[in-house]
Amino acid sequence: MTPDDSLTRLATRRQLFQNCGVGLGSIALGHLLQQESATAAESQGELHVLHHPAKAKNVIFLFQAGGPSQLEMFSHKPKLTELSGKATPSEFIEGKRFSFLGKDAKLLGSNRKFTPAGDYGMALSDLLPHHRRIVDKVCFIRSMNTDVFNHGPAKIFMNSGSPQPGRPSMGSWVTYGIGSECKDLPGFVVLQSGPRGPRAGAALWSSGFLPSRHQGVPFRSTGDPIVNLASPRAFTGQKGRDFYDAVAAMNQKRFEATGDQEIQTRIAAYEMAFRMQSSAPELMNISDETQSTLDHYGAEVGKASYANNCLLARRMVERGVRFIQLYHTDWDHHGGPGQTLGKDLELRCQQTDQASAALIEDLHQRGLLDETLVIWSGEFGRTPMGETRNNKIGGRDHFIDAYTCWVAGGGIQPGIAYGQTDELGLSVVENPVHVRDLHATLLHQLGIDHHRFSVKFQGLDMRLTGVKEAHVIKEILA
Amino acid sequence: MRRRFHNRPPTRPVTLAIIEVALLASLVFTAHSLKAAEPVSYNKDVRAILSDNCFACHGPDQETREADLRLDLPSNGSPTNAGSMDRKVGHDVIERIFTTDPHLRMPPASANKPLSKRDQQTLQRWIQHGGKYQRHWAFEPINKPQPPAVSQDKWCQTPIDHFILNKLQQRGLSPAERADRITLIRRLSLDLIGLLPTPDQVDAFAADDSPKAYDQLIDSLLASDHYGERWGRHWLDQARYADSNGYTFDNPRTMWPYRDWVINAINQDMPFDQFTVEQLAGDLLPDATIEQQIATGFHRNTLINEEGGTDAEQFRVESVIDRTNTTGEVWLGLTVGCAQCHNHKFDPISQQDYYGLYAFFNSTEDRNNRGPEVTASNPGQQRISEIDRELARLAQEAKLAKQTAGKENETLKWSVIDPIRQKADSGADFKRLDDQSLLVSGANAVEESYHVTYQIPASKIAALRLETLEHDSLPSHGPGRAGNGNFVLADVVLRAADGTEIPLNSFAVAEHSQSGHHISRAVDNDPHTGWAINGSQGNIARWAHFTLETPYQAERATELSLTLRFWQGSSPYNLGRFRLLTAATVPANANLTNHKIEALKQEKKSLESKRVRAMVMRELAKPRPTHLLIRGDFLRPGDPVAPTLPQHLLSSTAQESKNRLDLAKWIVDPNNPLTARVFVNRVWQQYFGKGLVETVEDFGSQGTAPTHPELLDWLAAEFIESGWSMKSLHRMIVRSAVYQQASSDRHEVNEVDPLNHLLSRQNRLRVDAEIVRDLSLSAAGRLTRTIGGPSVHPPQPAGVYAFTQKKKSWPTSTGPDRYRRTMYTFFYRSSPHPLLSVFDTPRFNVTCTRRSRSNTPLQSLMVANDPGLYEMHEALADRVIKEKTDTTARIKHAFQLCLCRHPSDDEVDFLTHFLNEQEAQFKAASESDPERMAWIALSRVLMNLDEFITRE
Repeated sequence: MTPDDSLTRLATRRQLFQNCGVGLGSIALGHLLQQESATAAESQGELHVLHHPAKAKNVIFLFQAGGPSQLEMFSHKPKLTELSGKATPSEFIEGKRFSFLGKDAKLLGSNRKFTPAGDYGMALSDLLPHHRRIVDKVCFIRSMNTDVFNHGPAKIFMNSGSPQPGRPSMGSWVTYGIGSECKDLPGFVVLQSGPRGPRAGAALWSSGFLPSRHQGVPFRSTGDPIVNLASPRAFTGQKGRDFYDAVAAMNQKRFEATGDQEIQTRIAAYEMAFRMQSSAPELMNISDETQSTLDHYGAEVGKASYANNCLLARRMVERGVRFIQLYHTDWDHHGGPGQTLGKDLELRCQQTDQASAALIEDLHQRGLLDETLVIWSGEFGRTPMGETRNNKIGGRDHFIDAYTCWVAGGGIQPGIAYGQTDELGLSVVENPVHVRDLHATLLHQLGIDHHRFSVKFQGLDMRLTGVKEAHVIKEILA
Repeated sequence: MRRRFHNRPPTRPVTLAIIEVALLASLVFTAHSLKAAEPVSYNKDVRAILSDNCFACHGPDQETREADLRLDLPSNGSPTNAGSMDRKVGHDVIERIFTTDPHLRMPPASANKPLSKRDQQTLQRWIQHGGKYQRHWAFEPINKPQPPAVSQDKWCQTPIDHFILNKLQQRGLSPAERADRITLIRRLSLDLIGLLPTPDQVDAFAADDSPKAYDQLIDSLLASDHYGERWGRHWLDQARYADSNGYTFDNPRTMWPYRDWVINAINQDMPFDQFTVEQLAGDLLPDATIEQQIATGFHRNTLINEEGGTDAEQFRVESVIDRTNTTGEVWLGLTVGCAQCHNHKFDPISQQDYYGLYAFFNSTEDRNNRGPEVTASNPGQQRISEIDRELARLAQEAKLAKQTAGKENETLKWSVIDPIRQKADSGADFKRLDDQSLLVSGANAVEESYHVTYQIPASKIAALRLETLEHDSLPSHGPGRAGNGNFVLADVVLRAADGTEIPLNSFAVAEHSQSGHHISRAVDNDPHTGWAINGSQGNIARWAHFTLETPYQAERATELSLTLRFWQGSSPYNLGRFRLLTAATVPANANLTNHKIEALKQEKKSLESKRVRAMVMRELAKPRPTHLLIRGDFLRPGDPVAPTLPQHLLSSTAQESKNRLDLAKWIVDPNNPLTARVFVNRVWQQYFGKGLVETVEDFGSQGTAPTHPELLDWLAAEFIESGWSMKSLHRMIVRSAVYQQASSDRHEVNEVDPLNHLLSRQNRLRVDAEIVRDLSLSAAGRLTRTIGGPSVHPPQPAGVYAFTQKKKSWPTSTGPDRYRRTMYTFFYRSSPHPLLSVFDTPRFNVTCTRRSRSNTPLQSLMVANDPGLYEMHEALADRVIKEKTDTTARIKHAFQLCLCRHPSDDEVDFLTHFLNEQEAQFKAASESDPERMAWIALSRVLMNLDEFITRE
């Protein structure tokens, strides 16, 4: 913005104010404001120039909260089945920490049926019939590992690179770094499905020490998507517009008296709030999708579900939302009531399998997969040892040494499985991938070098990837 | 590859002389960078460059030090120390900075931090001038400077202004004019108490041209209890105060007694040194009062992880780390946390120092979800004292009774008495069995009474024994007639032959009572409560003892009648078989004294459960040994470490250091150069939007240099001299001319000082989240001014908990609590009230010394549409309708209630037009009461203005 622009605008405002008798309500402020500084700053981040050309523009993170069991879904271990019920080799248990397991835990084989899928014959279990269709479009990482084994700290770690709350989440880092292309919606949106919210709550999408405008905005699936989005009952329609115009005119008047640019930012913020009042409900209204699209995902108009959220994620990508995070809860299958590896895990898979696959296929069909990085992961996996609850071995404990996630699109090589664990799934034997490496890779695909992307806080150069070594997983890049 | 400093190849690519000549030439032409003749100051010009680029390898950390070169130390005689560098080494340094050889150039390419040309030149000049070292300014003792002499010092109101004006004049600037009186009263009110003045107060102040008026206003605001709320809130940010445990479950905790301690201490102007000592170590003071222990809640504000399968030690260690880091940041302005994993790269804090500090906090009793508490308040205290006295008396009585009645008890003998007539209200049948018990059959009603007349011999009766018995004819063998063999005996009434009631004591004993159906409920005269016997053993034969208020003396054989009433509510719960026995003495277990004791103990227990228990710090009897944690990992303990003050960081007179009390005293030792500087700087930040040191949390070498170092020292010295009086400090700052300046932008200054570091005007500041709502409550006349107490639950929009693991309990407050100041809003760390998080209230997982101030569309939606704030839009509308009659007066009143100032004519015109237009629309829409709706529309506009939530 040059000083001249500002003068012109100032004059326009003064006119508006003076002519309020005729102009009130009929002047759409929107077009005056669209190019304004605050809105423009919103759309470009603090990294004015990317470190290298980006492969991905947007990120969809399908967070399977609770720790899905890789051994029932992606990681076929016949040897584990063979040794099921046997003691765990002591050298493995030595020095390890678990949340609930004792040292006498016995191995537990999976009784799922695994069959090859995709061109390269990735073994997938019968829990994931729809995933079979996308094996050639995604990259499975079978050698994931993380640092912490309790849900809250581990979820915070997956999101922020630190087990304690207080650091910015990855969505905040990304919108802080490269902004968002969407003028009418927040750049970082969080959706949630499943019986309850994820443990640790808002710490997971907190902006930490970054400006709070970068915190994730939770969109609710039913009712108003954003808290306080709707105007009070009597102030909709023309009266709604009048309100914003009057506030803008009065604020402009104060700007003229004080010259404080912050008032211009507030005027722009109110204007965007007004636009969000129509853009957010429009986004959430999936009734304009074709029936075949709805069926593809298993989505139903007016219902809150993971399937609806996957469809919404695609709609957000279409609108330029930078970072979309879906939480689906209750993957914590320890074996107690509601936590069995049998019907409870089956139910979780039924709720997510089809829509996860449909999202990849739909993005692909619409030509959006190339520029959208999709990640499917939990905060950790589950142990090859069984856990006893209520005198029955029906589940597995939290496991941080080796688990599976998948990534797709956004410049990731499709149709491969990366990394390998031993024949019992107890440890990674080839190409380990730490959560930090996943963070480094995510940033890299967006055009950001994680080494050079830091913010000074409490005397330290803070990074999403922290201080320990982190590597972009070059081998999985297309 | 790391290259060591002296391992350079024998050939030099360019001679040093040529570099120097080239440099000098370039310096001449970069006129406004650094004038060649100007001496270079290590602290002002050099340290920041070295700290950013060089200290990591040539600084305090021995582990990573390269080439034995230190650029952070004073002269110690070593030729490779900054302060005493020999010429040869100096030349080498210059050469390595300017060389074009990528293998030699410093900083190395791998650091990814090339030096700017200007920085290179600064270093060059510094070394050329002898490489003079200065100790980092913040670690130097505070020497109170003389306020500088300035021309036109009529502007100056306090010594502060001399320092400010001096800097302004050096840059050829003059201060802004004084703000108008209305702006001043609004500014002072928002800054000192966080509430709006009333229009009457505004007008009175605006009209009062006495020179004392401003000072009087300051005094009255500082005397207000709301001052403690306003400034207490700022301190609570630093204390990371919240009402819940954090992490995943985030259950509520009782922390508000600590919050109230802070408010009270600030209102009483507790000296900051005492304020510090009590919070860090109040429990260790001799004869620590309850209040002093509550003060230690400061460090119980750490998180607790209640998730299943957690390792308590892991989270205990995290708390200790947080306490160490918070103490460093809040009082010392140091980022000691850097040294948790390794020696500090920039400041002289080794990992050893860190764990020396950590050790002070490592010996407390609390461990994740368990920890010591004290009784902060006890509403039943008076009654408990009474009970205690009564219990002491009864104990004495019981003892006596036992001595004298010992013999009598031995003779206790139960005699079965004989039923001669019986009838049931329902018409049920009775059968007398051989043991003189009655077996009931036949009719069985929901409301039932048995009336049984017994024949008794001449005797004394002091107690009754009712035996409820089993029988095969009863459901589940009885003793009751309910399906499971249970019954509910609602009332027992005993009558003499003439029908007069023989009163029973209102206590009784049973062999067993079902939970919620204690035997005493059979003698409470309440027909809807009663005795039942279900339990882990099922329903089996049981007995109950009743005592007579006064023993009944039958002079000759006579009759007694007993009424047993049964009631369960929905099904018949009547007794199936029973018999009655009498005794002439009271059985020990039904002794009145014992019962009174039991009842009083129950009452006391229930009163005690209403006590407010505050979480406090308490030292373990046997200190917990501290080990250095390798890379900060609690599973990798290293060498043992004793509590040690970072002595070599700051010279100190402290002799011994054993516990938190020693640490606290060292922190507030007047010789400690950091504490006072750090505190006054943060207070300054609240008044001007930025600290004199902008990085209020980091006074180390990575922090920003003070804009007015002498002023900072003067304020710090003055603060200590005043006896650490916070109120004096506030008074000093708000009395200054620099504080009283107008805040409007000054175009002419923007080029010289665009960020207003020199303070040639005040700054407009958006108020904190809590105050955003407080202003609405205050303008609408709804504010409840109660200070302190349990946190409250003002309305919040629906759906806040859609994203939390557990739905939080949010019993929306009604009545006065609905309109309490927002700082009393219950704070769940995992899901704070949306108004708070939208307006930048941190989540208080860690300390916050500086809130961010964002300006976002979500804030706009909050203020425009939040139902809780909309209530205030309505309330303001109703208020102005009630308080004024004509439209213009109402508009002016509403305007002044919100903004304090009087509206201009065109503002009145604008709002009048808006009001009329709105009313017309509401009429057209057939809205009921269109006039009121239009006033709500207008109130809503006013409360959404930038000016409303801005301190100008």
